[in-house]
Amino acid sequence: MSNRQTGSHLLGPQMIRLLACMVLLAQLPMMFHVPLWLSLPSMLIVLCRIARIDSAIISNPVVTGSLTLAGAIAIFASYGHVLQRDPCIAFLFMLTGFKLAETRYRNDATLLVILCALLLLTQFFYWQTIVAAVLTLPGIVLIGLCLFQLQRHPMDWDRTAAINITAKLFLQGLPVALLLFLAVPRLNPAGWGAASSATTGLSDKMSIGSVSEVVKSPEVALRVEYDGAIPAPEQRYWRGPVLSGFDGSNWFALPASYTRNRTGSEVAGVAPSEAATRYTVTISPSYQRWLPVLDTPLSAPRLLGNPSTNPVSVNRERVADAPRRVTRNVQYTAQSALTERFRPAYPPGPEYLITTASNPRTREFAAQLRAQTRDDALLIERLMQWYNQQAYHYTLSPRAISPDNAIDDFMFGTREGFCEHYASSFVFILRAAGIPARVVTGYLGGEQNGDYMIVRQSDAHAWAEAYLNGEWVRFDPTAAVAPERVNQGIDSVADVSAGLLGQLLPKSVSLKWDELNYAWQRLVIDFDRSSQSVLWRWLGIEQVRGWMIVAALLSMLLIPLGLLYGLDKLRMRARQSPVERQWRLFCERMERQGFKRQTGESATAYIARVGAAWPAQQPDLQRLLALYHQGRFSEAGVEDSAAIARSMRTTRRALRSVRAV
Amino acid sequence: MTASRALAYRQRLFRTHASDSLPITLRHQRIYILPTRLGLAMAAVVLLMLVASINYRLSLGYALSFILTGLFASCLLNAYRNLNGVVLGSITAEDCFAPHPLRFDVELTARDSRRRYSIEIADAAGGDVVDIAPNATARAMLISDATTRGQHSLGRLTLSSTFPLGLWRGWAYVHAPASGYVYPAPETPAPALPTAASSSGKQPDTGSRNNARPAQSGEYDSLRNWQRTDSPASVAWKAVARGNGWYSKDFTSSSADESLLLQWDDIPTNMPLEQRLSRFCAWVIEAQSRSTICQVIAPGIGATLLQRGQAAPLLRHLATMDIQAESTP
Repeated sequence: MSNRQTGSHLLGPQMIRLLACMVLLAQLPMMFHVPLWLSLPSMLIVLCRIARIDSAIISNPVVTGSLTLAGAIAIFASYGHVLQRDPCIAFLFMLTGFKLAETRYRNDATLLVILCALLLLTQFFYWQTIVAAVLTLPGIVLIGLCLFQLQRHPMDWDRTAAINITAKLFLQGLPVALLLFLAVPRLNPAGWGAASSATTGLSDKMSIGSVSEVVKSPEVALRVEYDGAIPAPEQRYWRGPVLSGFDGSNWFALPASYTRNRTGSEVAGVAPSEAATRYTVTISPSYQRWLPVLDTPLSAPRLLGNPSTNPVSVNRERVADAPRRVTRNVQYTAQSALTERFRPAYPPGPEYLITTASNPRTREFAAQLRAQTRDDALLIERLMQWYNQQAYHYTLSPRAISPDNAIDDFMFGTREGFCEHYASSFVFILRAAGIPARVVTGYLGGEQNGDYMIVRQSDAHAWAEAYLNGEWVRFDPTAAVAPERVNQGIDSVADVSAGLLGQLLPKSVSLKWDELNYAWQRLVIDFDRSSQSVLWRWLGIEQVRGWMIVAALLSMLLIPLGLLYGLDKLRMRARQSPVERQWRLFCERMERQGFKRQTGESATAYIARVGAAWPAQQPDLQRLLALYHQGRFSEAGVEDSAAIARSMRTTRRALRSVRAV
Repeated sequence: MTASRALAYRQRLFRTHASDSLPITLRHQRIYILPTRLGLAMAAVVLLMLVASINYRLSLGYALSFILTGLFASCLLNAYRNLNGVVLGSITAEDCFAPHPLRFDVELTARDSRRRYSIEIADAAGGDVVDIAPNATARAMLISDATTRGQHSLGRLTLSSTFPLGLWRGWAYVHAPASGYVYPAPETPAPALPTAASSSGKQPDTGSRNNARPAQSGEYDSLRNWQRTDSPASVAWKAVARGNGWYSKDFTSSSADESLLLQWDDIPTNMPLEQRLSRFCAWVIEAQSRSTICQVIAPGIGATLLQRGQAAPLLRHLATMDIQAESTP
């Protein structure tokens, strides 16, 4: 049996090499996101196969099997759990390399292609930058190439044809991909996962000892449009969770039972003279219940497009509580007074004075301050001066400090840190001195972009509130150390988006790169339901319905088919000689007059039939027939067929004008 | 009524009965396309990717899934275009002696400027894979698994391709009327030819070749149109030289000294039919190699003259001879 397919399940060396290249390119973007001890052996095996070092040890199934087992155990030991996303991805990474080592047959290869496709996706859990996208492309193309070569017989190995055809396939599929990307409705599910656990925004817990570096994430926290004037930079305090509880090392939000607003008067505790600022916020999913509002909310925010029976409430700490967690983009309007003072209905309880026995030096320091003055305001002023005059240093990557006496270490040891360090030490000292105080977290800053402002996760901030003369007053100790952080935003004190590239490239280039990243972030990564609705509105569609998508997809299928059909027709016409073309036009014309040429009817018989009905045109018809015969059959006709066609056309035209009368 | 309609649908869908006549051009009425197992697996992976992208709101994950979806779409289109317009031109079978399998040569033509890749043509026994160059014809070979004597027809053919990426399989059923003969296996070692004495008392065949030679050297009975298979010796070169065209000399009657007689009844009747056929077959082959002509008497065809190179009808008759023929000599 000369069956070339059944006998060819064993892969040739060229195919193995191509598969190895595919695995390497699929692993490449993930390399940065799995530990080195894992990526190194897996990628070394792949490199060995590319270099054709096919030692029996590498490909021995016993060896690869035990290596896989060892790797699984190591992953478990390293990650601490198995059935979660990160260890699974690490295992997948390792598996592709080991699978390649034992790949011999076609079935192995197809499995490998599938694993690589999955592996290409997994990197997006960790990064979605331009670099990620660019690094993914060769992997996708290699997957196509491998599939193509797997389907071909090894004897027909033709690299150029394979590359050409695969490239053509991808290009043909691109419009479909683009339409799907733009049109498929983006569901915002009740997420059981954030894109990356590392880019969380604010939480209801804060501990300065454990975190040595904040995440400098450019992810969008919220977008805001102001009805009136845009507030000054130092007025853009977005109020998030208030952390009033303290257990010695952690600050945390008090339970809802403590903070529930019983009177409803908390939102009106500002002087009526304060001007209200109205604004509309679109908040990205935060998986928290609170909604950021500008200090100080005058009324509860109103959710848009969601006539919920459960409205947003504002609690006693002036935190806006949504009825449920924010798991998709949510829009709301709110109005706030841009004031730093607020008069509560009730004086604060003893929970705002709780400190613990830890941090003895700081407590001693607070006692000294208290000994110097009985005036709370003066004490606070002196404390702010202390931050300002001592050698405190604002940095986003401070040295680690011990969690037990973190505030002591910070105040009198490292003396470097970011807002959380300053806010928590400030509140601790005030409480130790007997002044009720609390930590407020939220965002400070924002970046105007056209008619709206973007507030990013990197704008996250923490400040303090102290109860002074019957009012909660905002104090920002960070401002005493790094006033530019308050006035000019986080970018003035830290390179948020500039990584290694930003340090290597000149400023102008890195700014351009930043712009590109920003556009990428806005146009591709942040493309979601709201961007889609903007797109539809731009196209004049108010609401997208299911049938529109079906119709678009159908037209995508039918239009190319129609084009193909039309092209085939055109090509067929192009193959006709000019003489044939003239004859066809004549026949079509006659057909419209009721003289359809019968199948098998010769040209002579046809002309005779037409001529019988139109005797006056007999000479012209005969002339046309003679020309047609001359053009088609005589040897000389080949040379001046164009001339014959021209005279045929004039004759045909003459016939038409006579007929028209 | 419904049964016949169901049958008609079956025929349209699966082409179970021979109703096609060559040449056949594959068009959309004939081409079916369904995903392969690999295609289904890839589709499941893409779906998984999409679910992950939805859950984690990965824009680039969406993009990757949609690029692969687009790839599926373009593969579907190209799988169709790869088969569309392929012409199954002719199927020829070369008769052979058992136990050799019958071989069918299939001509596949592309009448446009597109190259066709990895087209598999297969019947129940196996298949062959060919590429077809633009505006060219490719030959595929099918080897029937029937090795017993008789007339064997090619069953339903499947033209298929998983081009370009193996995600889709396009195929078309063709039930082409093509058949070939497997002659009875000649007896080995070759048995001795029946002697003239044993049959009709004439001279043994040794002289036949000598008799034939002088006949070919000069005198011939008539001229007939030259055929490619004629030997150079039989070409009427004088006629060619005169520019009258190509003719062969016809020696039919001149060498009709039926020195060789092959008679079915010479084979012992106690032998099984298959062995008798084998012996007769071996005789025919031997006689063909020795003499330009011989006389044959066999059941079903009576007494005929057998010229060299024209044994096919006789062998085909032998191939299809059955038990009933034995009882009626």
